[in-house]
Amino acid sequence: MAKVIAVEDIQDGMINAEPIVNRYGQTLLAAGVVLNQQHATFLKTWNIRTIKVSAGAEEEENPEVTEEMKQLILDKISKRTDWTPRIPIEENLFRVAIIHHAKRMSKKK
Amino acid sequence: MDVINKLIARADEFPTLPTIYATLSDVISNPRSTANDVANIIAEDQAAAAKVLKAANSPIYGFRGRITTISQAIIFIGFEEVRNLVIAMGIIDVFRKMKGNFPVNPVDLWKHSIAVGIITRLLGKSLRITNLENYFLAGILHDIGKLLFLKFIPDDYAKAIEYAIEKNLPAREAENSVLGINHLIAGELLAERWKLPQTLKDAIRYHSVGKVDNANNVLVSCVHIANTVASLFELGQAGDDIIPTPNLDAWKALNLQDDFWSKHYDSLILEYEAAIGVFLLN
Repeated sequence: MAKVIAVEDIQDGMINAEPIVNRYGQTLLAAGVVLNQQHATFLKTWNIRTIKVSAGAEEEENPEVTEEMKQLILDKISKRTDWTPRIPIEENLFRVAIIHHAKRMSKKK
Repeated sequence: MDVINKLIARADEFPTLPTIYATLSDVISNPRSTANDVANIIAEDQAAAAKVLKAANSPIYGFRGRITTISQAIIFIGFEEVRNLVIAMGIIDVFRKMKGNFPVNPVDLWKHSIAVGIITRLLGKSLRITNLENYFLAGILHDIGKLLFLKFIPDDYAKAIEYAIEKNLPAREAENSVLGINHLIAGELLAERWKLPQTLKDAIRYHSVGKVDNANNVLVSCVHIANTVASLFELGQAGDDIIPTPNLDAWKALNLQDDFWSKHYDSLILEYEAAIGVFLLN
């Protein structure tokens, strides 16, 4: 699900959701571009104030990850890992892995 | 004959690097060379030239449709990066043409390696590494030892995979027990033969440990973590089921923000899918 954000709030890694055109109809930035701070500066010089970006993994219109689904995925992962997350970055990785597999499962349905 | 000797005896049959790599390296190392000199060499191989353009215009580099010539690609993404794209394509093609009944599908193994390449590069970018060109290639090459096994000793390798599943062991340990050699050492053997730079040799040899001789090495740490992530997300198939515990020192060397994966998940998948399109689909 795309959301509108201010150009100042662009963060590295966000993805531009819609082509941005200037007043002459020229495309400044195509959809799908992975954004960085240089893009933000560039857009400001064109007086573009807001931009539509694809939401990140956790905010996106995710398939509803039910408890049952989550357990199924965690069981599958734990068969392949003899470790559980020890630090915040590993917890984040597991959380995103669950969303990733849930998306795949709902695509297959 | 044991497996190591079987491999060494057939070393002469090891695939060679596409000759374009040596030619490009020579031209690039000459300070007088221009983008056109490099472009002319690549243009001789039309398939490679088309793929370089496709890659440059894909989300991997983000120049959506704006790069129309090889010279432009060189100017925008750099000499070394273009050379490494050509070499990655060449190596993938060499091993993709293998025919036979393999314990791991080589295409799935390439998908895994491409994912590791993309994630390694993503990590390097977030660390603000300026010379990123070896990051993608290191990921592409990290499991090259497994491809040697598939090509030269597929039956022995199948036994090692079965053993790993049966005993619930990481690939490296199962390979050591069954073959007396693991894919890290075999990969290094090939890298030596190809005279690849030390940084790439280290990435191949140490990616599963995450450290080189107990010293931190950023590229090796990136490949180590990328390997874990690609396996956890099941992007491709590495031929081993167990995902070993990541080295905490590798995480420390990368010093990522706690929500790094949530923030970069979308671009990771987008770049991975683009790279599959560039490297594996004709």
